[in-house]
Amino acid sequence: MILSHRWLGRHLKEMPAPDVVVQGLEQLGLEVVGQSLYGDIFDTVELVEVVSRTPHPDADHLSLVDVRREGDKVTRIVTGANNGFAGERLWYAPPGTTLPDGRTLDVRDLRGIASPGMLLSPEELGYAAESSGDLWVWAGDEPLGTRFSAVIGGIDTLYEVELTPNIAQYLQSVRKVAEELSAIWDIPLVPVTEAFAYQRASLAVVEAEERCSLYGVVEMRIRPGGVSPLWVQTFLRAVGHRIIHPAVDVTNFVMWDLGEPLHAFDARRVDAPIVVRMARDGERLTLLDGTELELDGEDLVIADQHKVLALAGIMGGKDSGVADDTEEIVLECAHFEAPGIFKSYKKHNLVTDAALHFGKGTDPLAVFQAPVLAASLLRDGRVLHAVGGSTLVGTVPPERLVAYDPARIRALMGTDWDDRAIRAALEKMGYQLVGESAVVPRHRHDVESVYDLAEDVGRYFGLDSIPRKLPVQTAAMAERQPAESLDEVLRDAVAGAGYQEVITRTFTAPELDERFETGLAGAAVAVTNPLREEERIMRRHLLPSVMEVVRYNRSRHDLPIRIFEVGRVFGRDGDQVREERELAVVLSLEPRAGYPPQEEPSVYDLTGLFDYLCERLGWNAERRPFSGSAPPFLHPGRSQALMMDGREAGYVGELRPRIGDLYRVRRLGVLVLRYPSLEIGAVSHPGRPSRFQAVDRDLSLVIPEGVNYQGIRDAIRQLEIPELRHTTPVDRFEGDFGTSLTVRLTFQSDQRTLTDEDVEGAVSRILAVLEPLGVGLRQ
Amino acid sequence: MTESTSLASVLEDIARADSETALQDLRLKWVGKKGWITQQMKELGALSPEDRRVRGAELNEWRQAVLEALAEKEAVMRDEAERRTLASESLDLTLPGRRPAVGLLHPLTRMRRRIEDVLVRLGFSLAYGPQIESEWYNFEALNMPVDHPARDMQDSFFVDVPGLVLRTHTSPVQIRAMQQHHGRLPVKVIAPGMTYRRDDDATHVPMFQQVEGLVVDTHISLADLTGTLTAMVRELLGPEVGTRFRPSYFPFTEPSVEMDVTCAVCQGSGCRVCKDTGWVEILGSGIVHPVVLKNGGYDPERVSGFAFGMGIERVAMRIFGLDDLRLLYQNDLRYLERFQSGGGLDIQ
Repeated sequence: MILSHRWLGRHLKEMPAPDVVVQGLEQLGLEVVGQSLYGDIFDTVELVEVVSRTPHPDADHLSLVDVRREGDKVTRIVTGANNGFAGERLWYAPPGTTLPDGRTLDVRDLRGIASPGMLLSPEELGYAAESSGDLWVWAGDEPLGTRFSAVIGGIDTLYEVELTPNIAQYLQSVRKVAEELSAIWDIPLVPVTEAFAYQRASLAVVEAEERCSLYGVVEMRIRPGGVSPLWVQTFLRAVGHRIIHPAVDVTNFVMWDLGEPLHAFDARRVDAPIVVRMARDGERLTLLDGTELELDGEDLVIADQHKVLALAGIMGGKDSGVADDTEEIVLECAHFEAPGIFKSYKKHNLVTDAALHFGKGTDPLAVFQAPVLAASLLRDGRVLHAVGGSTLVGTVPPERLVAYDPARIRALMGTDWDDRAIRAALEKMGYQLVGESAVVPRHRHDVESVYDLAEDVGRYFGLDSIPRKLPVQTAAMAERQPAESLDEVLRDAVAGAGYQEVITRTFTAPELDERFETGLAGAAVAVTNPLREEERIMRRHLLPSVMEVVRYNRSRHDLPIRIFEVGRVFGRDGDQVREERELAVVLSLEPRAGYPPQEEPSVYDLTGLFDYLCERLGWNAERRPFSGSAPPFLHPGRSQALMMDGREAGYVGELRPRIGDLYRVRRLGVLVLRYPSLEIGAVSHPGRPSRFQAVDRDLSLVIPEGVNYQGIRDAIRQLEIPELRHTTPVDRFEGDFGTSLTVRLTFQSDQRTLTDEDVEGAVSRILAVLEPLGVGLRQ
Repeated sequence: MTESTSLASVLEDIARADSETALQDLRLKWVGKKGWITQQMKELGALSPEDRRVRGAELNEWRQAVLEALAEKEAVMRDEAERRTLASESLDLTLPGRRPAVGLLHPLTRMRRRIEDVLVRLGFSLAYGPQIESEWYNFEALNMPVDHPARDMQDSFFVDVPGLVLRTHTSPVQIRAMQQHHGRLPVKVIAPGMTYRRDDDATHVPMFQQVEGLVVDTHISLADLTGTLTAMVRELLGPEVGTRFRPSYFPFTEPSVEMDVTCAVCQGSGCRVCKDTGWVEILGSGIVHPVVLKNGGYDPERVSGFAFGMGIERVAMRIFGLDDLRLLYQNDLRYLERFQSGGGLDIQ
């Protein structure tokens, strides 16, 4: 909402400086998000008098107008306007002036004659005037050189305030804001006019009483061709309204001044009496802006005996609005129930100023003030001939009471305000206190309990008056959640191993998601109103999102990729949604030129990372060949399934090069693990190191095709030789004899030094168990 | 010595030897098993006792002198050889070093942990809830019934499962945490997590992180809220930061207040970033609405509470001096690498 400093000043007997106003507004909860000036651009627009007018020598449609300016200076301006004759006073904008439409004027050459700036029409100033030609012929008697900014009352300061939903329920009006400022500043208000005395003409019937508690109509005869007073136009322009028709301008003015949106019907188009009723399903209405609406039984409408005239509280119909030749209007002043209007404008997506007032809540008492103000404005513009018949249907909603408990207010706010101070504050803010109850002002739809009273007392004194302290409580140990702590340890472990953490959006596109299908994820949860095509579903696994990071980076620079994410993935069984934890690591497998040389990354980095993580976190997990075939996006000869607690939970390996190509990296290693939300199971129990010498034996084994290291290791482990402490591969090469793998066995006892016989005995047993696998010593 | 060779010339030969081999030859020639001095000593037995004594002493003296000269020369040659070897092994240490492969946590993870750390030290426990949340927890339980105007404040993402929504804030965890406490006091939790709103510009991203805070106990007041948040913000942003509170509105708190801190760019004097106000908003908070307490299983007549919600990105933007939030989720590795320094800031 835009608040005008001068408009506020209409309601307050004194007006402090703008910085005090900003402070006051913020103390009340109106956040000032911007401040600007209105009228400053009119500071160079000056009043001039036409000395002579002669035709342009080279153009039939142009004239040369000499104008006298302040200090008898004469300036010649070329104009295409059809008026502006000798003796007429006009508004002149010299070069350098910026007009409301954004144009900045300079000296222009018009058919060979220089024309500095422009003579202005009312429209060019953003105003409406009763003028018979293009240019605004000024009737006032101000001296030449008077600035246009001066005749509109001076430059105004505008405050752009953000309305929170509760404030929108009661402070969408200059008067209401002024009332609260008056309370906190202790500056008297300018009194409101007396209430309008509605007559008892049969002009309206309310059928839908529960949706419209008060409905007033006032007939007014007006003079066609009139315009609103300049000051009214100025205030409306300042807060961003166009000047349309005096009857419409008045409804806009009253809406912002009192917070009561009015509607003016052309009396010729209304077949009285007006009926306030629910729409019939399928009934149609063409709105003022030309939109065709199909209504239903939830919509409240204003109708006459034959047709729907308006969507109540939201927008009028095209056929019943005022026109230039309107001579009689039917002015509607109503109080509608906010939730119904809110629902309707949401449903039809019609966010109008009226809807934003009625849909949030208005002051029922404004129904009595609005016609008086409207009539006085029309009278001021010499537009109003007479106020005709009027009627008011319905009753003012009763006042509401909430419990008044000053001790509770003190406790909620943590202050030592005494009862008297609290009482005074609430009364200033418009409450009446009766015993243990507070009578809520009728426009305060937001107030429900003592909590709201506490808030108003806080707003009255300002939140700076609240002391700041730490709560005094029973001490309790702060706790972390084991499952989340595990995520953090996992992040630290993977980052510590040299991978950069990324955080990606959890939305993705189904086609990207399906590329990495493994069968581990459930069906997708779709986002029904995504911002982008590629964000239509919640990701079912992490890899697609992390791979997009690869694509983003590799399409911009040739960096090695070492990244990971620990995050949530989503799936569903019917209407049951699952959120699971996943780790995804991606490593580009490519040699990097550089000196000193770096080791070339390989899939072994990822298998090793997995083994390290299992040890670190105490996971009962292992790598195994895929039970069936590897997923199609993985290199079948360079990938493994990851098993946790005996169930497949992920994979490690190299992507198929043709998949990598899609992401601009030919060879990519990936590790994906869906892990359970368990506590960290690993606790180290380090025994005392043996004081006896360890003995190493290297066995160079020839291994046939189809046998892998795991097979050899498992066979050796199966012997359960207690002194065999480690088995480590130390070399591997291919010769004409086949593949040779050198395995280092480390033996050690806690009780004694091992003899050659001990070690040889163990080695023989090991060779014996390997023999059936076709594995033997290289000769 | 032979008649033609003096000890001095032997010692000179040793000093002049230019290779290990030459030195070895000299050793063999004079003090080796078949060397001249060794031979002469073997022949001592044939001499008279008097001659033997004199000759023996002379030979011993010679032998000693030769051995010493050899040892000295050997040491010199060894030093020389080592010098040559080391010289040949020298490295150009002005080349870049081989840096350890250490990955970084995402700046938002670090910022989240830093906030958690401060709040855990203030006695808050950690609590969590789902990202795909029921509309009841996300809205109704938080005093936002269907058609409540406040639902306008947060443009939500909906999913194709009836009754569920991507949570628009971490506030549903307030209800979940209260329910899990089963009426026990105090409830003192923070809930960090991902949240979603349909916004996308330099200062809003559709997926972002919040930390929610909730304290429920007997006698909790707005003063406790302002005190706790001031302590937290000073710990996060430094003791010199200015703070103020303004009335605001959230359906689940009453009164609601927003907290501003002095603008980091102009230190409060007013600039473009703070729209000339000198202040920037850092979080929203308030006294827990009685309806919310009831929905969490607590009696608003007996207990009260305060709650707050803070965008982690907003704190990160301030601490790291960022002006575009979107970069944090773009995952440009060159950008993320720039957060290398200041690891010590993660936890104070």
